Amino acid sequence: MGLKHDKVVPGREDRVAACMAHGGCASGMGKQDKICLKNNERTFSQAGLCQLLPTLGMLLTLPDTAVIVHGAIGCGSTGFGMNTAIRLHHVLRGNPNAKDSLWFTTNLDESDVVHGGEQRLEETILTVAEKYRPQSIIVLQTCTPSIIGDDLVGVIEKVRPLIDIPLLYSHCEGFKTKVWATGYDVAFYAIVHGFIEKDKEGPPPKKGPRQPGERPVVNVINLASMGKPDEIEIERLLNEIGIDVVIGPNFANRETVRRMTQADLTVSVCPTHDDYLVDYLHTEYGIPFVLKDMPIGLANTRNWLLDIARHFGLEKKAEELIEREESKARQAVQRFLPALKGIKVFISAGEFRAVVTGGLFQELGMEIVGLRSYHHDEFGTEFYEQLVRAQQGKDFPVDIANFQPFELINLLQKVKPDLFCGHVYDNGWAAKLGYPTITIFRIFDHYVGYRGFYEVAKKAARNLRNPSFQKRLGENVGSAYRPEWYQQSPFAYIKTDASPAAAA
Amino acid sequence: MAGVIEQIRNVCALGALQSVVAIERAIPIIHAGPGCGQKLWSGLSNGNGFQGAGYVGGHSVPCTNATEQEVVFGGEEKLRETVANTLKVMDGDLFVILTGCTSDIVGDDVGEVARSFRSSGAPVVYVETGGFKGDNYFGHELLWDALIDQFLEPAGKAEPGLVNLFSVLPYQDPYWTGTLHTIAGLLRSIGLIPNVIYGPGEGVASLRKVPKAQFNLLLSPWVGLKTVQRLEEKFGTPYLHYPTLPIGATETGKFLRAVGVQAGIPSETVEEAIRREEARYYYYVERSADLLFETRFLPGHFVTVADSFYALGLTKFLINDLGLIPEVQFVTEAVPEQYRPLIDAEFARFDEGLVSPVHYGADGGTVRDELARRTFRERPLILGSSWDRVTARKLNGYPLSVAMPVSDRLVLSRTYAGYEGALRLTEDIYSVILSSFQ
Repeated sequence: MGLKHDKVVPGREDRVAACMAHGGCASGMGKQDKICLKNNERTFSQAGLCQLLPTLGMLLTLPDTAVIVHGAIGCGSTGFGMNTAIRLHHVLRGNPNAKDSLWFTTNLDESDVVHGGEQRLEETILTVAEKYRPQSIIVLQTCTPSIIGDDLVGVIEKVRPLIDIPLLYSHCEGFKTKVWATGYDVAFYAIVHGFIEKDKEGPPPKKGPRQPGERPVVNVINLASMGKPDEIEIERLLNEIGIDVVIGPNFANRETVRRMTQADLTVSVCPTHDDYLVDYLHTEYGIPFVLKDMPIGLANTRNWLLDIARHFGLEKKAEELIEREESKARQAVQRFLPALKGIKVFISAGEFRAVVTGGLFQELGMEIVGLRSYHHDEFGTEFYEQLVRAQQGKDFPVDIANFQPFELINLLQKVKPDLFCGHVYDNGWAAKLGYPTITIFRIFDHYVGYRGFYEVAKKAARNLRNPSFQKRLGENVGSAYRPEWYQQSPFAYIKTDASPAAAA
Repeated sequence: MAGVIEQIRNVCALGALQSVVAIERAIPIIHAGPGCGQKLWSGLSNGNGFQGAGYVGGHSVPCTNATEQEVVFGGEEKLRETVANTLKVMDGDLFVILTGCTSDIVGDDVGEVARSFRSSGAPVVYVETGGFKGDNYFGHELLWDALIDQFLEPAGKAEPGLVNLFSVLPYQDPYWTGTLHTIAGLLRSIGLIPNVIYGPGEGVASLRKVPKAQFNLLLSPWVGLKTVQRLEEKFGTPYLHYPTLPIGATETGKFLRAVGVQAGIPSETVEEAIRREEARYYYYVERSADLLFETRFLPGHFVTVADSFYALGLTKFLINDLGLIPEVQFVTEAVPEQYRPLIDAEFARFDEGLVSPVHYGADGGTVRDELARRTFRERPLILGSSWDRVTARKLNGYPLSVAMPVSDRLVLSRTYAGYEGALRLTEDIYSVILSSFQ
């Protein structure tokens, strides 16, 4: 099975044996039995995320769309905030007049729970299509209609012939998977089925072989959280070695998404994010792929570029570009290196970003003293070992946690880093403990490639120069955790097949 | 599309978790799917004035993160385990289990779980706030039912002068902390001892004092009426229901006089406090008069799009004190039928015989369509949410974000309540107008 034939997108715990709860050291990653890790659970946990959020985060980037959240009113709570975030993206992309997405909730109440909500959903889709004429309509199925048995696909297939607007639907009920990264797959599924497989014109035909002299075209799969500066950097590097790019499916329209079926190669920027779509383009359109690296830091960017260049016999050009760019980048960061040398850093983010950013920090002379990944799967495994090797075997603790700030703050108080580098929603907790913090990436910043290498160095040095806000904050706010908690192992509430949680 | 809501302006009943977060040292425990807490917090806090996670909000709220296992086989065991370990890890004085849709549909016996912890001495209460049951105003009242029934103890003798303050919804109102602080200051100015349960202060200790109050003050059009009535039934505490959030001299004076009468405070004391505040207030109002009348930067008609607290409070100030003309007002929370006449009556009570049509309903599409079909000959003032900025732009209006979601402002201690708040509001309105062409 795969994206094309799956009736419902499988949870990543099943599809790629993803793990959500694990505590250990970097040198041990990948050595445990994967099936065993997959079964790990917490006997105490804090509010995480559900797959609806990443699904929506991606689908909302589609231009001029209408979102219908089928469920109780609260499931649409993030509506405005996400609109604002997308608007900022558009502003940074030089498109300040982009239309906001339209937002609807079917607002299911007690009576709907008894009688079902299919009819209201159907009416809503038809009315939105007729009254607002958006470029696409996105329908999100939440927990309540799913439990009461609303047939989402039935409703969609009933109304699809009645409207001429692409319909994208998602089964993204929170209770269906522990691994919210499943939401990326769900969004790819919605995009592919909405714009390609069930499109009015049907799927585009396969492209014939490239003509002699024709420049190769590669798909670069972007992320909803990737800023325009990074897309520019990727495009610049690939163009320089003679490759044209199609960037999508985030922020892409129907035509661009359909164009992705005509490329010569699909390139992932974040393997753990992209494999479901990459596999579809490979299976259905025979497009080969590079699904291994993320172009963050010098070594990873080098590997990433060479892997792509190799497909088209462009290694020599790529080598030349890499030499040139690396030398410039090394030169440019010289002035930050004294401030960064020996700095002990703790990293927290999605696994792939966390491990490759670790590599970047090591290239700047910093040492990793702890790392937290939101989930773990096989795409990240080999990187842990590389990181340990790169710092002469100095091991560090790894926490696989879907947020869970109680584990994070416990761990931070044990490893006491000089700098904390986290994703949004992470830095606040570290700042409250008084640690200098930097956000791992923001959509305004350069993060990938050579420009990113320079900008991350600059950001780290700048934040280390004046961490007075965090220092005062740390001195003046209380902890929500009992003193005893800090005496325990940060992983005390993780239950494995081998051992029940010690503290439970 | 009956029932469908475009552009939501409040959340579901489980949003009451933010009312728990607002009580210092009270800790919510969510028994729901893994994304409910994050969505509600993002909507009410992060996306609404950037109010932050606080002591134990955001991703730090204990949660069962219910999955298929709990939906198919029931979630009581998972909840029991989560509560037991919460008590070991989290540092709090009150733990409130709040359920979401999954638990309420499958019918977990959450009451039994809470009771078993209570019987062993742990301060654990529960409230069933499945999202399909109603909005967060409704959920907030359910939370209070639970606190009254499961947590508060009779106090014996009432403490003279002690007044419990019930008013705006924490987090839903981005200005709640400043507003409660300001109202408390007004109560102090006439010699009362305000008991403020939410925000910086005594938190759970304030909550425990609730049954000791001389009276409950409900400063709200309708939200919380059920709560003060139940407190009266259970603890015999009388209440004063003052429906309008006081903004500016006219309404704040009326409010203080009403409270004075209820509390049995000599009218000279109240009048002296009002005189003192008004002298200061009108000093600034006088300063503003030159801008308002010499430069003629008056907006056209005004529109409010907010919950009943703000739609009513703002409208009264704008008409009675600032001398503006109303166009139409939108009340955005689900007001139960029986309270509508009460709100309608307040909306019919303005100076100079002015009246303003009032629309009830949470649907933002209706607001947009209703405004689009009206003719504004001058640039209207639109006090609403950040959603309404788009509409305001189309109408060439002056937008000011005052109601959830407020995404274009960082809100810390700002309030529009009382004397000082009215000055702040005047500054904000005219700053929007003055910056619109600069």
